[in-house]
Amino acid sequence: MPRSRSRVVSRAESSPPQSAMETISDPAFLRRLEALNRLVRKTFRGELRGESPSMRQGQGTLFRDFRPYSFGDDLRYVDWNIYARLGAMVVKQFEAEENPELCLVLDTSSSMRFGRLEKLQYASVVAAAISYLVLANSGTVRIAFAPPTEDGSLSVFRGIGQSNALFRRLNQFDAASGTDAFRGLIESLQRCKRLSAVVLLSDFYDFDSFSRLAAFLRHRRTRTFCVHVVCREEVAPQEFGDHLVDVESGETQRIPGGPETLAAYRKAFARHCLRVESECRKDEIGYVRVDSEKPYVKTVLDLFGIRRQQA
Amino acid sequence: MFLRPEALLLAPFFLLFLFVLGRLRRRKPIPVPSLAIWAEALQESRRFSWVGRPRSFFSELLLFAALFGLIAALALPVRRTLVHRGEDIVVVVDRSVTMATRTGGMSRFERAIATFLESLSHRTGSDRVALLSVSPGGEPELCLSFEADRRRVRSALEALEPYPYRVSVAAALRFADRLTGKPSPRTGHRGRVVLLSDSVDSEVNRWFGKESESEGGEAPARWERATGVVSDDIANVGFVGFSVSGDSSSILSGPDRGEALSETGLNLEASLRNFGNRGVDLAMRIEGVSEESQLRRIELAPSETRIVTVPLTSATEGEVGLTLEGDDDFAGDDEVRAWVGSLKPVPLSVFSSEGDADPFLAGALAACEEWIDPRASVAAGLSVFDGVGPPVGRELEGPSLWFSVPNPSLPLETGEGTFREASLAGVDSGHPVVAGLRFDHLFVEEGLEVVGVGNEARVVLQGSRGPLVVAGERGGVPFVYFAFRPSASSLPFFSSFPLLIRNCLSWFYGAPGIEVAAMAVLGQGEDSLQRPSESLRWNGVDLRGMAPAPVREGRFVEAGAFRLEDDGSEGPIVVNFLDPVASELPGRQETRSASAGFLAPVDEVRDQSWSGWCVALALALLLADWLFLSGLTPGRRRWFRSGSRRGLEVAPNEL
Repeated sequence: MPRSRSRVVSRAESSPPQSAMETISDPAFLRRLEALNRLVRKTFRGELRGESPSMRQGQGTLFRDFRPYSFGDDLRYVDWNIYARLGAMVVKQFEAEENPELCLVLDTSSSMRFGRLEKLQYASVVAAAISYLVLANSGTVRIAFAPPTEDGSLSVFRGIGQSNALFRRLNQFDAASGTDAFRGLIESLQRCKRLSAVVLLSDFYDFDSFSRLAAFLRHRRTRTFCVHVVCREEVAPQEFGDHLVDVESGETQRIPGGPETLAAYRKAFARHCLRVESECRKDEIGYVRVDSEKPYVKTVLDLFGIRRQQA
Repeated sequence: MFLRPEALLLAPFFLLFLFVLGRLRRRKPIPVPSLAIWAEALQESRRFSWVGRPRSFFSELLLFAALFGLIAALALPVRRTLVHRGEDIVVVVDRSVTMATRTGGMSRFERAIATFLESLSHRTGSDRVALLSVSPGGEPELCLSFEADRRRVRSALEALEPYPYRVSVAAALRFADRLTGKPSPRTGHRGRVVLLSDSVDSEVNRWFGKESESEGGEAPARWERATGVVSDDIANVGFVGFSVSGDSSSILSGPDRGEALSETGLNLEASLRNFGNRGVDLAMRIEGVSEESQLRRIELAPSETRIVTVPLTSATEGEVGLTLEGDDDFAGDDEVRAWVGSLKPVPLSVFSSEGDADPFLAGALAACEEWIDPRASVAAGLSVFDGVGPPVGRELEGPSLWFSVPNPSLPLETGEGTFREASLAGVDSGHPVVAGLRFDHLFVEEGLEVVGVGNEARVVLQGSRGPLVVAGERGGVPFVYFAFRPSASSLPFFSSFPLLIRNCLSWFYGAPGIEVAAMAVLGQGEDSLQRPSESLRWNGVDLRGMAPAPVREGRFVEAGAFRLEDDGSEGPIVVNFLDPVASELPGRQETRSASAGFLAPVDEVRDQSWSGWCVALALALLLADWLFLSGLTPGRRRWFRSGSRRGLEVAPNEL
């Protein structure tokens, strides 16, 4: 088995995706996802058996905590051993075992279309891979775009059978305009009764609306994970002159050239990245920054915490 | 630096080309994912803001300088340099006595040498100077061979002094001409002759072609003096005569040989005037002309004036005589005078304390040839008293000019002492004697004091030491009194001086009289006739006595101060060193301050094109701008410096 995982990784590294449409619809892409799914299942064998734990307490088999008995509790969950030793009635609590449910938020703003390898293309591929793994484990995937669609509804996909539909949905989004990517997304997420896990794939240039979204998710006690997609062209610009235009707002500004400008930009971009990361830590949100030229398989493995040596 | 302006017409096309090229190469706006990051970068670095603006400014400055260099290259700039090629200079020094004339503390000779040395100091050391003078016998004398050492030239020049007599520089000029006749092997061209002279010498004038020259370079034929003989026993016969020598065609230049001389305007005119109280009959016999002109009978009424014209022909040669013979009734009370020639009927008597008239005064009188002939001094038309009064027993009949005469019999009183160093204090410009004349720099070295002026006289020129010129009437006869002799003042060096004398004569006699060259009075015996005039005319004033400066045309160009310019022709340059006050005649060349231009160096012009330098400079500026200022983008810096991909490998979290 390690040999098969190694083959998957090497293929993914050797053949970076050309475009989201071609990659997702490519049979080789599905084979890689299947191999990836096997690797994930093997890694989390026993932990992800059948079901996934939920943030809600319920009547599952996984013990979570004790609490004092209160009127109306089921006497079957009273720990009589503790009562015999301590004389106090304590009720055992269990985590509710639910099917995995994930909400993928894909930033489709114009800034995501930047780079030789577009960040949006890369993010959609990563989103497709994660979704496939969730669907393959009997999970539910909600796809949301930021900015959201006109009706504000989220596309819901359950089971591996809807993976093709999910892939099509990821290829059907339109490039959004505007700079406030996450403003309408909060309203869409409020309609969801269950929002156990959210993965954000964005460049987070709209930092203010992201802060509001992070605060909202923390309030909902939703486990959130941010994938900060960057490209090399924005990390270290190869070409910049005195006349720059913003791809989102269309604003132009004259920037004098020179090495001082480049150094100042690199520092400013680093501060932006650190600012996003700090915001995630403050709201207990997982954060990872990936290069758009990094193989998506490695990114997915990193997301699932699977080390390469382990694989 | 010389430019060719026509090449600048290409500049608009060049600018248009650059404009189109700039539009084609104009970089499109570069898209960035977030302009906010760039704006933050701009605000973050103060150092960037302080460095970026000067960088941008200097970048544009270099760009414009390069553009200017390219446009300047289009204009084909040429740097013109003058390279002195050296020259051989032959200096001919006139050592005549007239060069010793001193005014203003310097003699003409000293001024000439000082001016020449000053002009020589402006030339480079590659010139060689030879010094040529005249020996007392008139032979050329080489005082210094061609010498480049200026100190030796100076010492040789300063060792020379004028002679106490006149010498001719003609021979020296011929010798200088031979010296500079061929191109010098050192310089490749002929040398230059500089004559330091006041040009009083008529030979100099002839040398430069102002006078008519005969073949062989000999002196031109002239009217010569002849004397007629009158029989003493015929009291009532007067005779005047003259002779014509040489070829008559050489006498009268211009018309072809054989043409009637009368057509040339040369006539023998005789003016007869009867001063008696009754009419007379005269027989006028003319000898030496055509047959029909030999004898004429003339009747003259009392106070009648008649002009008899005797045309001279080409056959006229030898003595020409005019004899007037009265009839038998001609008595002693009758007086008939005849004037022949072209002079005015003003008899002149000059009385001088030095035996001869002041040369300047004589020159000024000769300038008034329409009035007088200074050597036909007969009768008492005009009396000139130069330092002495009239002879004892002689009555003063006509107008008179007085020059520094003590105790003149005039309505003015002279003192016993003399005054020295007087300058002009005032001019009675309303008086006809000085009307229209200027005496701004008049300086009198010595003169007699005039302590009183009568009612019949007026002070015309007032000096700082007293009256200088007094004009008035004595018994109804006008006179002009000068408190000084001309030679003791700077007056002769004024062009106003002959005009002043002529004004005096005009005031004395009114309108000019009949032209008569010589006068014969019946019963007075023999008389002689001078040539009508051998003087040169210069603007109507005879400057013979004033040292005329005829020079070859084109050699002198007057522009403000005295300046000589070489017109490119070979030949000597005449530098006249007269006096600083003789500048009032139009066309007169003076040598007050000879500038360096009179010996302007002969230079070779070398042109060096600077177009290549301009293009190179422009390209260098563009390269500097591209490398160090505007062009230092990361991609170009990677080309400029190796290993610059480090910036691409730095991840944000590493920053």
